[in-house]
Amino acid sequence: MSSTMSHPQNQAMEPVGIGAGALTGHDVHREAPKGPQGLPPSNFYAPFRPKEIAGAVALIGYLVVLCAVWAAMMIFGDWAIVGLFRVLGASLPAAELWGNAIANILFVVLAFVMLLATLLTMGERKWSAFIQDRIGPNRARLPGLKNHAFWGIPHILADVGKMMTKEEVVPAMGNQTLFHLAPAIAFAPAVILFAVIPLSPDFTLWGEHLHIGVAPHLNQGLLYIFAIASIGVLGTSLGGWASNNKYGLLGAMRASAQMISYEVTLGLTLVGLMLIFGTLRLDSMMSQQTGHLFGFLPNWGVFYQPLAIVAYFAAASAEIKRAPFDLPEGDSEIVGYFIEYSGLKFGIYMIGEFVEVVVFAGLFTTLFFGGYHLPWGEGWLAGHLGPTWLAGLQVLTFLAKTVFFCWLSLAVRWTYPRFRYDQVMNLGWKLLLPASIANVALTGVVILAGGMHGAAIMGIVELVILLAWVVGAVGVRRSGKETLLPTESAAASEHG
Amino acid sequence: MAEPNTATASPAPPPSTAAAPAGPSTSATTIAPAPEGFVNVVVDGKHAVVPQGVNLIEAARQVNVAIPYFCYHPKLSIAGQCRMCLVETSDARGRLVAGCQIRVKEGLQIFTKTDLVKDAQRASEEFHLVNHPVDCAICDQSGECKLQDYYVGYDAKPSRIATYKVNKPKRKIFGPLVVYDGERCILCTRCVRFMNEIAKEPQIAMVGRGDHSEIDTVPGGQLDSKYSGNTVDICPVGALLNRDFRFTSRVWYLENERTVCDACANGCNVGADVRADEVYRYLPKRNEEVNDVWLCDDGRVSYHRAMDGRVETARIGRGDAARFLSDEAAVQSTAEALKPLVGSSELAVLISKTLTTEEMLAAAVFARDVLGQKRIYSTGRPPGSGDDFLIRTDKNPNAPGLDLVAKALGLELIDADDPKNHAQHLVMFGAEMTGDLSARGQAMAQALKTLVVLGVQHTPITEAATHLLPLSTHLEQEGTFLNYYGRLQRFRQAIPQRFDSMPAWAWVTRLSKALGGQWLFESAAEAFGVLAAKSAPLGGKSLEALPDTGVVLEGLAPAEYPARAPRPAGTK
Amino acid sequence: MPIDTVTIREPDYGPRERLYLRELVRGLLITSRHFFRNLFGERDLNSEVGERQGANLIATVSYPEERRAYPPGYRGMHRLVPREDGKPRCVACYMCATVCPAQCIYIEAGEYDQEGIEKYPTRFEIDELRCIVCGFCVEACPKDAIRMDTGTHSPAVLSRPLATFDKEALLKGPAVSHPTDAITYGKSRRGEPLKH
Repeated sequence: MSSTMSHPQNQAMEPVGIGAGALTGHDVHREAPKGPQGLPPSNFYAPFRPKEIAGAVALIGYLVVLCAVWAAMMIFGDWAIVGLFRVLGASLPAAELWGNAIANILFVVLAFVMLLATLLTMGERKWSAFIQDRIGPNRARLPGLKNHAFWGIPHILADVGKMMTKEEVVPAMGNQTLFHLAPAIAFAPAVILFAVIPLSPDFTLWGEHLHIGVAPHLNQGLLYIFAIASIGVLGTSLGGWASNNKYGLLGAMRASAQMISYEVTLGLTLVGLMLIFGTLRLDSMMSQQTGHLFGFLPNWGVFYQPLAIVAYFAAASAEIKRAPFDLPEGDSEIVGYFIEYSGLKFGIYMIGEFVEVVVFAGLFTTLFFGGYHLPWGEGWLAGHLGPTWLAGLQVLTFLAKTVFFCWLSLAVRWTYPRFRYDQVMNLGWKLLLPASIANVALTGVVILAGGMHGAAIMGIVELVILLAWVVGAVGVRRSGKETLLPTESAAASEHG
Repeated sequence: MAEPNTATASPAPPPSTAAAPAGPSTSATTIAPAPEGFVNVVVDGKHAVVPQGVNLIEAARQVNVAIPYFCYHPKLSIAGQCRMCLVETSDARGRLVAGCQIRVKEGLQIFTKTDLVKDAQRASEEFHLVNHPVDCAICDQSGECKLQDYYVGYDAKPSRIATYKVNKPKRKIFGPLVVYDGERCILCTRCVRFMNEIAKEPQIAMVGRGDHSEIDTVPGGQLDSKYSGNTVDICPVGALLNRDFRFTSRVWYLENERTVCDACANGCNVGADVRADEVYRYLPKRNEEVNDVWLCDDGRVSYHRAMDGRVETARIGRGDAARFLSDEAAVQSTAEALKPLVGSSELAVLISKTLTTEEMLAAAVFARDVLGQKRIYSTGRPPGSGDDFLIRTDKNPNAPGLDLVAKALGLELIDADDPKNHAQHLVMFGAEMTGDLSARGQAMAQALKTLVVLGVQHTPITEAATHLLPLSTHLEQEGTFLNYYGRLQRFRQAIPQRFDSMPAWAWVTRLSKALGGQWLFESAAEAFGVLAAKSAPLGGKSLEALPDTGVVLEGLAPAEYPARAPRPAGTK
Repeated sequence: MPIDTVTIREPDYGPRERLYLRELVRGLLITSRHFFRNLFGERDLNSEVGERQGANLIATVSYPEERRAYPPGYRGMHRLVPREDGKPRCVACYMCATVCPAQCIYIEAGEYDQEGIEKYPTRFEIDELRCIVCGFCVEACPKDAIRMDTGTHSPAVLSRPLATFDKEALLKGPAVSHPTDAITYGKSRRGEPLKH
């Protein structure tokens, strides 16, 4: 039985000139398909409407109110606490500093570090999108403001909501206590590291002597940083171990090895700075980074210790486990020490990483880039604005510098591929550590021989050589060899 | 490809040298003389020994060479209308002869693949398509249409005809079962010859001349013969179509399952065209000793019994008290109703003559051994009209089967579907009855306290039932029918059991189990085995070993066969 | 069995290559360039991504708000093509249902009383969830009665039965006629209605 259709007559009945195509009508009487191809243009990128302007104003207003609250706490908190102690009849030495201290803690931790870190979670996603020619997250909306994405910021709220409502899975065979404790141990050092960083010089507002920064006057500022930074490894290694997961443990082991290795470099790179500034106090270092070298260069650490900057940046990246040193996470291979974590505990690990980014960007700013100091014109501004307004401007300067180095950290993370484990160890022990030791020795010799001025000249010479090297003017060019891949060159040498 | 007689055949002579028997390729061997009544022929180089007197088409068929034809039919007279079967023979190379008309003779060589023949075939096909509408898309024949197949096989070229086509009657109702489309007709006259020669009722004829020729009924009459459906079967194109089947399904969706028609006692072999659990039509199957290749119209539409008005679910209680139950619950309820009646003289068992032999056996042993009855009553469809060809007056397909079963089990069979008046409880295997069904149903509903009915279709009888169990038709089960002259014909399951229905032996097994009886049948073959062990005519046959065309049991043949009815070979 | 070995010698990198500083900075400059171009450049919303102009390099098409035009041969949702009188061109030949590899087409045939064409679909349903959008039905149709030129894809639905479109839902779009329609749809080539 055949089901074949035959159509001899149909074709014969077509008028002359119309071929077999007429049978299915693909070339006669065919209308252009009418689909909804031209949709109404998107209002997604339309100019702002009143509602949206209101939303943006609300966002800025939040920041302003935050600052106002801080200022109010600074001033009235003082009075309130001092009054409280007076009422209680107790006498408290330097009681007037307590309000300042509490307000500083709240401001620095909540408004500065946490806010920046929170924005960085979205910043990473959005900035990486721009680096990769994408748009990035833009779907979440604020209630009542459906027409604007606010650069993805509502996603932060969505993420927080997700993290808080997600089921928290706890591995039954893991160490329960440490499992719950580990995120806090990892998170706390990152936050309290910021304590010794001064965000502004001391200034006077309405008769009160104030400064921004929790404990910038600490004598052992740098040592405090080394001490607290090394605690962070506990959180990761305990978290990985307590998960009772082989991948978690693997990540934890990598984290421990890497962080301990790079702590040495991290410390040694800063020894040069100690030698130059002759102090461990960060506020003291800060106050020394004012003025100008040779009349025009800002008197910043970068011009004394350019080698240390490179080493420090690499070591700091490794210390906070950011790409290209993110082997402990290694999301594409072992997921890492937090593999068993979910919900808010994972969220704490994640936000902790961004807090670390902010903290190290702040340290970088403080140590090498003049902290809150403007590069030029501070003297003129102090004359015209007065020290109080200048202090406000300097806080913004510090913020700008910190944000820039956060961005740099993220740009590095989205530019370079992850190191292999042996490469990390080679880089740390064989290159960065010898280089930082050499830097210490060199700095010591130069300071002995030429003092601060000699150190500045050395730094600038180093910087010029480094830049020239980067640009490619100096350096040994070996003909043709660069263009060969390793295997190709090996083959060429074997068969050549 | 099977090539019979190749052991004695010579190597194939090429057609060009065939006219010279002494050529080098054929000189090595000689063709052995054919046995008495047979002749040697060579078809496209293949040697065949064929009976004397067959035509070239049949001779070529012996060696699997297909000569195309429209009008030729082995059971009809030769018309030579279509000119599709033109071939060359060694008698006259370069001339074409009609393969249907020319008979074989000793040593004849037939050529069906030469350029001349191919040209002729292509031309014939093209001529047939000159006025054909090629509306295959709406034509029910497409898929089983010779014109369609041959177009692909022998023409396969666009038509060169650019003139208007002749308009002819379309959708002309010829009779109750047949509709005619004149434009599709290629005027092969198979239908006319069938009505003249086989049905002996010349109700249609070719009228008109030239390209206005068409088939039409005689003036004032219509094609209402009892065999009109066969004209649809033999129509090679879509000109005559079955009104019952029309537009219900495309033929390529259907599977042809061999079974037996249950519309009368003749037991015609049919193929049921089925798709999923539905039968769409019956087509006759060839069985020279039962129905030849024909089928009557009543049988052709009898599949509707399996499709329409079925008892779908078991029901307990009649009228307003009716409840629909699952199989298990219905069996339990029925068994409870039957339990106090075991051995009672107030109980009677009716077995329908429409059941399969296996169902009858199961019902009979249930009556005898579980219900403790000495006699059974037979019921069935009322007799109808018959003729001397394929239609029997007895409309029950298996009346001799019930006799056989009763005899084998030693039960008294009373050929009446009205048990004695004192029977207040009745078990009916099969809901068929004679007489005025609605009146009888009302009477039974009043008179009977218990009426267990295993029924296929809803009737007044099933309405009166207190316990109604859905019964499968013969299409839904394996089994045998014993036709009017004692031919035991086996059929296989054609479709799945529809709704909740089961064969009677399956119901018996369940009821028997519920009543503590010993008769548990797993299959029809098991029931047949029980019968074969007890019945002398069956003589230890097994269901699996029965051939598709059936076997004739001794001692059941009628004294005289109807005049034209097909009968076992060698029977007068 | 000897094993072919290839010795790969570590290339002899000098300090400059090993420090890799220049390449690091170059890489950083590349990513920074993309970042700033995409941050400050104005997005060209041309739906043909390859033809976008300007500094912005973002290639995204934000789907629900922005859409690319479907290409001319796009196989969209089916439609049953109407005749000039609004009835479906379909003659219920089951070719589409037969050829459909997903068996998503269900047809029941009926008979017109008075028209030249006898057969038409009383039911014609397509399960768009089952449909694999292969277009075989369009190819198989001898009457140009089913097309996929609506330019829309099958819509999202809230329950499965809603994705099964019946004859009324499918019968839409511009009517189509062919010179061969005369024989199928009831008029002879001479323009007269066919005799019945």
